[in-house]
Amino acid sequence: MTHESICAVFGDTGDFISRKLRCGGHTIYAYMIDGLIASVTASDMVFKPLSKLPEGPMQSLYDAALDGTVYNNVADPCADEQTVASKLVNGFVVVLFPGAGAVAYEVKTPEKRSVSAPTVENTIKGPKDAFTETVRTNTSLIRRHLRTPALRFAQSVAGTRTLTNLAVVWIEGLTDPQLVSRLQKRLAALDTQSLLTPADVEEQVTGSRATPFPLLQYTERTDKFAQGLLSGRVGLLVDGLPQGYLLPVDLGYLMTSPEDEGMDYVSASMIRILRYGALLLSLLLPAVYIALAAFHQQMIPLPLLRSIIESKQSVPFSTAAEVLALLLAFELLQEAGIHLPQSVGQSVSIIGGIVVGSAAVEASLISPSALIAVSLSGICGFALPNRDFSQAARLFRFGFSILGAFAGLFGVTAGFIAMLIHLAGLTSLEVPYLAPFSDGSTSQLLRHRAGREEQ
Amino acid sequence: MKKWLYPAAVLAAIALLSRLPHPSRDISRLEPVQAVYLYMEAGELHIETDTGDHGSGHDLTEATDDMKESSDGEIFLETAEFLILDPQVPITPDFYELLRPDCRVFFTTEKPDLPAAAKYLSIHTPKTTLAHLRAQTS
Repeated sequence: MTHESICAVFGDTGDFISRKLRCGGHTIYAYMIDGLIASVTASDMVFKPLSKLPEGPMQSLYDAALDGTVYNNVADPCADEQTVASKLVNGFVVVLFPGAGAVAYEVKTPEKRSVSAPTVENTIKGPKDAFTETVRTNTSLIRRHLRTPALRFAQSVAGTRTLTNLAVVWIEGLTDPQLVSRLQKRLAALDTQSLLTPADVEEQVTGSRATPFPLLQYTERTDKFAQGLLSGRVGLLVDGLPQGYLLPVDLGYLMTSPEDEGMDYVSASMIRILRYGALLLSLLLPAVYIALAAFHQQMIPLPLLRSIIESKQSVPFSTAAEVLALLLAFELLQEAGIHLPQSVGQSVSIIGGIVVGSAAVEASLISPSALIAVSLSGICGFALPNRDFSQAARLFRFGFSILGAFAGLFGVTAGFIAMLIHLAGLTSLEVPYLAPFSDGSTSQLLRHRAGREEQ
Repeated sequence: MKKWLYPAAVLAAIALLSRLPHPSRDISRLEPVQAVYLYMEAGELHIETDTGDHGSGHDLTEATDDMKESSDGEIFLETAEFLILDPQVPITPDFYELLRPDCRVFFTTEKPDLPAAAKYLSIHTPKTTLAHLRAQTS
């Protein structure tokens, strides 16, 4: 390893700094990436002690620099150019002692986004610390929740271009070792250039299966992540992403919310049951409405049937066209709201939802009953705690509605059974997706009660 | 194997859908009926509904078809809650196919004002259903 070979790795990139130093009667070289290191720390904790190294052969300088004369928290020897490059991009200063070796000192810049409150998974009660983009900050946040020495972090790097730092997290003695080894095997087998976006991580880790249902659970909440680890799951932290992933995932996990742990178990269990109801309504309400309105009118109670017929008298479209168009409009409205700044997004929702909706009803373009069915289904979709799961439900809602329009309740039932078959075939780290309900028990619907307090 | 399985499943589904026994009819075209009145006049069976539709014929099927043809909308008898019967009307198996088994049956010799009768019967519900009637006659 020479000065030239190290410089060649980074070429003439603007932020690569190479510095020649005189030390102990020899010429040594220091390398760093501007912006990734704290200059003051590098000066005080690396260059200053280096300048005080006593004269002697290069090997003794190297040994002294590695063994503590340079008083730095971390001093790692670097065997080759690849290790040097890896250390530099992770905020280290590398000092090359020509002919003896190279030592990397950690002088990372403290500049990073501070820990803030969760923005998506809000709860009224409970901790307010959310993950940041820095994996080391995230590991420290988890340590603060789980101070057990059995907490393990296995570090690795993935992405040939992005060299993204990953940390597999588990609790020794609690997590099934097979789950850990399955995840580690998958990560080791990753053959990808980049691991930059959540989709990259999710598709690469789960093997990009053709399903809209999430096969790993993400959370921005450290307490939820810690709870996941305590329930025997494996965690994955990815540098650059302000969220942690939990595996395996099943339907039961996707329907739980951190809020469940912030209230008594009776209320939490009731709300969880309500959430399952919301899932069914979100999936099936528009489809059932179409099926009843187009095929099975006799199933609608007479006063309601009359009211629906009256509201539909002057609407020029069929029920199926009306509901499908409303579903599409609802999706567009949601999409527009996401891509706009928060304040504008709210205005779009109000204008789109209330103003356009009521104007369309008044103009007899849509019937109020169809609008209520679609809106209720959309609101129920928002009640689902996992956004990925909610999006999958949105997709299936369309499918069921089309089946309802073609084949009534028969089509909706066939579609629902097909979805259940699809879900039953899914696995996450070889754990079945419907595992909590496989034995027919409904205990997963309720939040488990904490140990009874002695009276 | 999977390559041909999916198209085959889609084809099977389409074939199945096309053979469904119930055709779709949009709800907005329906004219739901709450009360049906059947009576005999000049040797013919007459049918009247609370929606104001009327038909006649030699038997129930003929009378119903006549009523459906003369109606502006699509008469929907499956919502009928009350069947008001002239005791002279012969009860045939057609009745049980036309109306719901839970349809309440009320006998009268006088011609009723059907909307008012439906309102009255929904408060003073007759106990006899079409299913009871069927059990008695069979």
